[in-house]
Amino acid sequence: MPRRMTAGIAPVRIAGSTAALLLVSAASVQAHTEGGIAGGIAGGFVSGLTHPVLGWDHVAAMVAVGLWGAFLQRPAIWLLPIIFPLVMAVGGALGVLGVPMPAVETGIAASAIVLDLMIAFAAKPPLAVAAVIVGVFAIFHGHAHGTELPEAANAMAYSIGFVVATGMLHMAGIAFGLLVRWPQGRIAVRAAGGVIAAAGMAFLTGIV
Amino acid sequence: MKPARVAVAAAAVFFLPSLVHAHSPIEGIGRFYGGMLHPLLVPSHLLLLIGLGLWIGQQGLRHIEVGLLAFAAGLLPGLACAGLGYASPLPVPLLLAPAAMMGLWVAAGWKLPREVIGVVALAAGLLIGLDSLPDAGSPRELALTLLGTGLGAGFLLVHEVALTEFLQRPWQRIGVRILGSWVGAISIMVLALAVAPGAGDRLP
Repeated sequence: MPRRMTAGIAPVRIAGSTAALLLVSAASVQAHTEGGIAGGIAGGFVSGLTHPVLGWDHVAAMVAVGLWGAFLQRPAIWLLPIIFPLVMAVGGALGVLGVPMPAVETGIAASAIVLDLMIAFAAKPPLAVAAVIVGVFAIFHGHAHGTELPEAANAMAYSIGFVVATGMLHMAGIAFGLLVRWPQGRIAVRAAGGVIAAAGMAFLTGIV
Repeated sequence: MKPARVAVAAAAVFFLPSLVHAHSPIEGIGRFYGGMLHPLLVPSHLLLLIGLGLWIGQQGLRHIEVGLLAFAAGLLPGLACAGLGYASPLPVPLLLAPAAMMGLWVAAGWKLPREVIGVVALAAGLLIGLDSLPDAGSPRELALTLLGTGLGAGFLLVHEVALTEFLQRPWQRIGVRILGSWVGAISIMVLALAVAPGAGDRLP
């Protein structure tokens, strides 16, 4: 059978069996979580997973990265979700090492506003410019995560949690941003960008 | 494909019994199964294996052969040294630095010469083996633990490499590169923690 015909079948089976294996092994690890290694890992992972999700500014910016990437289409649609975690990690390293960064929270809030305004106004700068904008804001987000990393129950699990959460938010933004292929979807995406940017401005200025 | 199915079924058989031990699945799981779960339970090992698997899987079939064989060639003596007491726990940065490097390579989508793949895979296997120190016990228990660890690490790597290599569609390849960026990001963060003054005791 030609490789092309099996290309769709084999990876599904392998992925399914791999997922089943991981689920089974994960179940055995979690059976007793009275603390100890399993509790520390689980607690750290959940803590990291929820850190970006529980802050509107993190959520808005992460989704906006995915949205904007989808708006800019290839290669930005996948390049931005690759660049962001890596640059965020650099910012996180700075936070862990105690390197001060001024106005981190303002930078995070500004990231949501700027990125969503880019979407609202259908801005399509060159890829390098978009990457630099996203990268600069990623430093602020990473620094905020990194500052809390030493306090986490399990630093490694915490890191895995917030990187995964960040990636999932990007994917959510990309999924919504794929609507731009339709005229109504394009309007919806731009409107969403405008609403989020306005909400961000309201939060930042204290109106809300 | 058939050998992969056999490997998956065999691995599933090994993993399934762990659910039967309703109380203390780690304590009562036995040395063999405990060793098999070891690569999954030690985050630095898991990161390194994930990064290595994604990277080797990206390189193409001929490079995969070299990578897997080199990994085994490094893992086996490493485990042997760990079992014979010639090894001590490795500093976590020693495991995370190559994980970060491989995450970056995967994110960049770089294809490297087979010699480089061989050397890196050999080193990764050796590091994981040396750092997989078994708990004290009889020679039989030590052997079972190390055998389980070797099989667990091998199954995980082979699965990952096979899955990565099969993912040939453009969006699937992009997904692999995104996963690589995650591995790199996580490794960089924890590496910083390892070198930060006073925060190193937070490392698992």
